[in-house]
Amino acid sequence: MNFKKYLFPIFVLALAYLLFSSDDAKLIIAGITIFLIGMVFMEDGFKLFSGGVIEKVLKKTTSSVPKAIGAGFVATAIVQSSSLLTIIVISFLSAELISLSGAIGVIFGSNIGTTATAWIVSAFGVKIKIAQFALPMIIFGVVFRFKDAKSYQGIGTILVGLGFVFLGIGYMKEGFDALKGGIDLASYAMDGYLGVLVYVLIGSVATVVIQSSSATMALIITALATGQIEYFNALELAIGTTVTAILGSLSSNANGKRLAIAHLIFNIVTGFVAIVFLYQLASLVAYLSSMIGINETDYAMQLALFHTIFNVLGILVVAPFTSYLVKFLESLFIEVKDVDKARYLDDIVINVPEAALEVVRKEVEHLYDNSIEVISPALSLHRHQYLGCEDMSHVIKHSDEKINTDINVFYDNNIKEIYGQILYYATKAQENMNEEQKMKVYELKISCRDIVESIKYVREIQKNIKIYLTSSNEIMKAEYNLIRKEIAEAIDTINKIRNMDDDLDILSNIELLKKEIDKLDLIQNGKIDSLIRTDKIKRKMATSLINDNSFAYDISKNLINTASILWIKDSDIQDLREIA
Amino acid sequence: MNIEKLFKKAEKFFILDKGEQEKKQNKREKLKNSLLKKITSLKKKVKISENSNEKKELKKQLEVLKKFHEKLK
Repeated sequence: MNFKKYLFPIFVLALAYLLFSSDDAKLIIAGITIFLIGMVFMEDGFKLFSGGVIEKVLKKTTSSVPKAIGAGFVATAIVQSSSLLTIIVISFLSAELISLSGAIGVIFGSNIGTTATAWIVSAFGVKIKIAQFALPMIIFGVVFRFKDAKSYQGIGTILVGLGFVFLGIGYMKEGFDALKGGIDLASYAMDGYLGVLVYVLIGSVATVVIQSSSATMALIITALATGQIEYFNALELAIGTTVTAILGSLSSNANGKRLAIAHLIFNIVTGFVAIVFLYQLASLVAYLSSMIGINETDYAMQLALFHTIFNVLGILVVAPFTSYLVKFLESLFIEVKDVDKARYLDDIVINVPEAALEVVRKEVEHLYDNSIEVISPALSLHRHQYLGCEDMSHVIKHSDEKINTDINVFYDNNIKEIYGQILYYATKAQENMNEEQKMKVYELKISCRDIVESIKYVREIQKNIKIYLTSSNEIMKAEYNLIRKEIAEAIDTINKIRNMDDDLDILSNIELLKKEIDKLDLIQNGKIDSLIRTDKIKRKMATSLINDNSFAYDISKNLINTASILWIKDSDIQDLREIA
Repeated sequence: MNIEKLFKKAEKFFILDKGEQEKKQNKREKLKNSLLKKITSLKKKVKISENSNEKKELKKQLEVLKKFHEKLK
């Protein structure tokens, strides 16, 4: 029996029952809901406001695990959303902009960053009538959102988000205050390790249901501040909020799964350490509270301190083993590379422009590699024979074996699908991009078109290569060998260029290759003219040769153009191509 | 849209504002410097190289970069 499909209706019915049976529960649930809406607005606001700053900072600060932890902590504390950060990290990981150990570091750091919510709620939320600031914030936020400038819209959205968060806390507080008159939850307090396990479990379940550890923490703090739960049970509930993995459903690719497991392992270890050392940690919190001036009876602030301390402790325990964790995760999930489908176009990445641009570039690179896989046999050449060879003429002359490749089938299986996926994905990704990024994606789309065109041209050439390669007409055979050589040399040079580190080396070698191709084309045309004039080839042969020569020229030019777009990284150096 | 805004947009459209021009100039200077550095290092490589084929290729590359540098002036 599929129990899962009944879970949602049961949940809705239970929720409806709670809402209609208790006015106090209605207030608390409304508070949680409004709080969550606020979190969504804040996340959107930061996306608008930061304009790629978070992405840039993360890219540069994840070279080592400690740095990555610091970056994850600061970024999450500022944007107040670990889910936003998680999405960016998975995007970057999929685009191979950061390493798995760097991504794991950021996720560890973001766990400490999320504890900032507990500090805000305990310091302001439950002490002052925070809800009275909520409505002006929402009103000003909406007014700001009317402005055209993205920065104003971002600030407006953040204000609306904060307003809703404050309003949510207000409702929760009101609900717990009212509940106090009816039921006293504190009477259900449990001591000992049974209590620990029960409350940790309740905290976990609540976080899974609410889908936000921040919202659950806000709920725990307001319940604690209104005296609805005991301090120790609140600590146990706080541990419970951590023992959940929020990443599981976010990505279906290997990197997403690796990160989800890393997060789960971290959470379980952190939770376990916190449970085992609960009483020692509570003593440490009491000691540190007196040191930093937190009032002895201010349990909400002490809970926030406890939340931060046990997350830091988790990092101290797990972080030294990051390299082992990476090795284990890489062996646990192995990337299945299917040549027929796109490898990098992850839906999660699409909303992060810089990462989306990188995955599109990588996918075009994949398309290019597939095209070489079919162009080579169409020329009756194996790649291992001519790539990096010393004497291309010799290799071409001695490779006259026919290789049976059905270009149409290869095109349908290995090109068409990926090409379509790139176009669809790139067009969707462009919606979130600035003008410069849109232009780069446009160029990548042009590259795809060039690659596909090259395959269509080589299909035409292949027909005649099959005829003349084994023909007794030595002149035609030699001419077709020249055509094969021209394309093979372009592919070989591009293969060397793509491994160069310096963009100026790539640019200058591309220019030299272009000139070489132009020169060859001119010589070839002159030669064909001479063959026609001296009646060495028939009219039909001449037509084939002229057409195929032109196709070879176009293939080389298309591949060179693709190479310059794919492998010159600096956009200013790329622009130099136009003044060449 | 009021007339003042319209003028500002037109001004931006027809004349690049100073900041934009300065940015373009800085980019150009940066590119020129990197080209010059590369040219100098290639010249050194040409001098050192003992392989005639390599020397020939390096010289060709040098010519291309010099042309880019000339065009940027």
